[in-house]
Amino acid sequence: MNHLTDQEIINSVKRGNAADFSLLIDRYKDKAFSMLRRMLKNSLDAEEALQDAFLKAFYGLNNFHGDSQFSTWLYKITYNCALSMIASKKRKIEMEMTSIDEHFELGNFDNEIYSTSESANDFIYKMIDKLPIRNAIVLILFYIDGLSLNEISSVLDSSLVNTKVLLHRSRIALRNLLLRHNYLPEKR
Amino acid sequence: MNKFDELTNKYFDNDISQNELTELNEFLKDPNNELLFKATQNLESILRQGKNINAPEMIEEKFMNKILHHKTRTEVFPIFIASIFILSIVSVFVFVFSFTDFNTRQIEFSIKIEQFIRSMNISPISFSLFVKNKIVTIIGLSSSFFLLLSFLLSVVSHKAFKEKINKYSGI
Repeated sequence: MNHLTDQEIINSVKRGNAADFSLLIDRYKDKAFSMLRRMLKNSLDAEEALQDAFLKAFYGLNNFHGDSQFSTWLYKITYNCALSMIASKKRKIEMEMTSIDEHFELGNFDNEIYSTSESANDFIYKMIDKLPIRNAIVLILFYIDGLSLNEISSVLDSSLVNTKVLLHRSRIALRNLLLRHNYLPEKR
Repeated sequence: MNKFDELTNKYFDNDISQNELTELNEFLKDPNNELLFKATQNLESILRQGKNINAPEMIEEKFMNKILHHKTRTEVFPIFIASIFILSIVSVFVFVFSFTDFNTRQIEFSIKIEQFIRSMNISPISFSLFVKNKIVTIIGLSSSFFLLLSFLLSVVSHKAFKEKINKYSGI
């Protein structure tokens, strides 16, 4: 069954084989969970939001007409579920406070993270968790999940230009942090 | 963002033109810029090695149980609401026609209403004329029908209400 494309599975679910939806859950659970875990900062909330996202995807499947990839559509639902959970728990949503024109400051906690990091990789991923949500999600979706900037802008519901700016600012900020803590590139 | 950072970003987005690449190479002759560029390369390599955080085990089974269970129970809701409204609509029809089809019963009903109105100290003549008018009856009947129908449609499509009802019914 793993050789089936997303669209073939969706068609099967739409024909009434609801159990086939488990194939889509299996295919995307780790990617979606990873994104939620980074947004919500704890596994229990991430699992709850993941369940909510898959439930919404299942019941909204008839509204999915294949205009975008299923993964992009699912990421969008997942992202919105995370935002709803954050809002309902009245947590501080940095992304909503930080406009695209404002610079975020990473310098306040990087020393603390540096002292507990074993390697540059460890340091970078801990720092990503400290970025404003949208910046972190752009990095995760672009580098780990391999989404294009167009797909990411669709997930975040923002323009392509804004998505690019988010990626560029995050990239430059993390690069500067690597240099500040002497994680120097290897010499040729 | 300065020009060098802008070109660096374009380079790593694979979005750089030949002229911009030449310009970037000029910048890279400066050792400071070269260091920044290599640090970005290093960052790119770290980020691309990143892995997803795995979801907890057996999550598909748990979610599928929830999905299938959820499906059968929520489908009852629209049927329940639709039944109530259809019953109300039918009742209105039955009630109205039972008085308009039989003149004697209609008159009896009107007399009862007149007596009631009189007891309330309201002029019975104008009210009696109003009630006996067939056009008013048809308008009233149509309004009740459309009002109930629009209530039905708005309630069934109201997601928050649906969720609330499901919540209180233990779903």
